[in-house]
Formats: sequence, structure tokens, C-alpha cells
Amino acid sequence: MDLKDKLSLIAQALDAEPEALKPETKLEELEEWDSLAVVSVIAMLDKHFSVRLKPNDIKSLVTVEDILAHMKEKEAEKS
Amino acid sequence: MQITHISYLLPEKTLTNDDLAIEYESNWNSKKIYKKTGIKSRHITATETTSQLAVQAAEKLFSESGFPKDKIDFLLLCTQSPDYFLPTTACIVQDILGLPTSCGAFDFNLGCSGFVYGLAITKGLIAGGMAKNVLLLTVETYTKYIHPKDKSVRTIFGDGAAATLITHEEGDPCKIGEFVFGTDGKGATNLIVPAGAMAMPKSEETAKERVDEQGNVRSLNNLYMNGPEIFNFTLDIVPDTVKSLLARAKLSMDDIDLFVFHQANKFMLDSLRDKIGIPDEKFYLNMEDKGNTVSATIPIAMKDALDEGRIRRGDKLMLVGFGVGYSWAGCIVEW
Repeated sequence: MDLKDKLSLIAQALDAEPEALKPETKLEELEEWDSLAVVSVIAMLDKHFSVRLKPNDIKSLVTVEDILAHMKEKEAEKS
Repeated sequence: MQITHISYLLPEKTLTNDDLAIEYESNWNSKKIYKKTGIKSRHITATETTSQLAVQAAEKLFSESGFPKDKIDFLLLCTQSPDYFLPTTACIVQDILGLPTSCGAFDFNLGCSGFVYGLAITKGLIAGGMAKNVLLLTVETYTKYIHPKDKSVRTIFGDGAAATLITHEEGDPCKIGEFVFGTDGKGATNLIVPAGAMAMPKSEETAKERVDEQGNVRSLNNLYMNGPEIFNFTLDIVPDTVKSLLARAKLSMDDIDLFVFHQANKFMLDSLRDKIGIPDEKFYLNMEDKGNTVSATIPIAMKDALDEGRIRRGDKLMLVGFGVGYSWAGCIVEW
């Protein structure tokens, strides 16, 4: 899965436009980033990467890159 | 032993997504609330108390089923929003309904797992020869705990009462089947009304309002829910609960005609259905015009499914409740 696909999955979870998302985008600057978006991201990571965010992981999500980091982890495990 | 009848009652007043969108004036428009929760409107109490909702639901059950009140020998009432600390709400309800004074009655305090636990207690009472006809009332008025400016819970919860009649005749087959239970008190603070009982009595301090990171306002007297943590909890335990219940009942997924889960919110249920691999047509959802009525959701969903012809005589249902506590329970019921 390339960066574009991953950003598209994040955009889908956040209900945002994929073009609006770059790795450096700050989540709290996104209008869509709220408690429901957090739940959507948890669901997306669980479904597509079998990754479960822990309470501390959730707190440390600052940029889109932080979400991407969790999406990479699982791929590394697979290979 | 079988579930003979279910009736339910929702308060008259409704709270729609349009109402909420107007109040919040933020990026939470009506469509977004629906997309994220699967809820369009909820019924909320004004001055009605738990005993009043319980009595109305029970009266509806007696009138619809024609079952005589004087044959009820046990009344169980599940709530976390009782009329009083004491006396027991079930005792008040016994009197207003005019149930026999020879009837046993008590409350039990559980949330989303409460209905399944109620069936388990009922099965125990009947199997132990202590009761024949049990009235199980699952009633909740959570909205009384909710701060009007806390959209994280106000969008989800509604009030409601369900009355379920379980009866047994000598020689009847037992149609309330295998159970599994679970408890993890480590999650206690993730869905809680912190103040008001003995651990933290209400005071000026507990009534102080605070604004959280998401802009929601609440005090310690209000309901608090950590949505992401509750979601994580359900992803952890619900698939395993389904698996162990099937194993205990020696059934496969294909043997189940309808899965009726606690109607928490549509997003959570869709994720769980997907993860467990339950076919869409076997998974019942009905919270759109009711919201999450806590321990009342499962019997309310069963009643709607019955009325829609989704449950037929002889069908095997899997009921699973999960939430506040953390507490969870599942059981197989044959209709």
C-alpha cells in the first residue's frame, strides 16, 4: 500500500478530502478531527492493519504522519 | 421456559439531529451526526422517572399480551437511574402495577449488559423452582445525567423502558439457552457518573463545569464517556464473546438466525459485524429513531424485529450486551 492509498484511507476515516491531507498536516487544524474521527481512525487501523491504538497512542496523534506511522508498523511485521 | 412477550415504551419528547445541530452551531451538522452514529432522533424524559416509564411499559405488556398480573411471581428491574437510592424501584413498581404482594422483586444495577443478565437471573429463578412467571423490566433515563453541552453523549443516548415476560409451564422446553459473562472493572472510569453517590457526594465542587479538549462541557455530576476507549473495549471482547458463546452452545455462525447486539451506535456495530463476519441480513439494527437506551436496547430491538417479521417461531437468536462496568454478557435464545 503506497502513501496515496494510506492517505486515502485516513481521509475516508476522517470524512475529509484526500487532497487536504499531507503527512505534516496537523490533526487539530482539521475541522474533521474530533472524538468521532478518533473512533473512525481506531476502526480503520484495526480493520486494515490489525493495529490497536492504546490510550497513549491516541493522545500522541498530532500529525497525519503519526497515523501513517501505525499503518507502516503492520506492513513491516507482515514482511 | 421461554420469552412470551415483549413490550416497550419510549418517552414522548424527542431530540432530533436538527435540534442538536442548531444548538451546537459547529461543524456537527445533522447529516454528520447521523453518519457517525446511525441515529436520527432519540426519546428523552422530561419529568418522568424510571418507575413511571417502567410501569407504562409493563401496563402495555399486560394489555397487549392479556397475561394476568396476579400470575407474576417475580419482578426484576434493571436500571442505573433509579427513583431513589432507597427504596428499591422494583418495590415501587410492584405496588403501582398492583402485582401480588407474594411476588419477589428487586433491582439490579447494570447498563448495556443488563438485559442478558436479567435473562440469566430469570433462568436461575425458574430452574431453581423459585418462580414461574417473571416480569423483567429494563429501564433507563441516562439523559437525566447528561450535560446539555456534551455532544459526545447527547448524540447517542436516549431514554426508554422495555418489559419482557418470561413464563414456564411444567414440562416446557427451556428456550433460554447458554450464557457467557464477562467483567473488567479496570474500565470503570471510562463510562461513569463520578459524583452523586457515596464515593463522591454532590457538592459545589462536583457541580463545577469544565470544558474538555473537544469543547464538550460537563461536571462531575454528569455522565462521562471515553468513546475511543469504549470502542477499543468492544473490539477486544465482543468477537471473543461471540466465539465462546457459539462453542458453549455447540453452534456455528450459520445456526444463528439473527444477531441482536446491544444497540450502542451504528458505527460501532458495523465495525463489530465486519470484524466478526456476520452477514448483513442476520444483523439487526434499529437505533435510528431511538438512540442507545442502554439495558433496554436488546428487548426493544427484539420487539421491532418480531413486528417486522425478522424473527420467526423456532429461530435461534444470539443476544450480546456490552458496556459500562466494563460488563458484558451473551446468550442464545430460541423464539
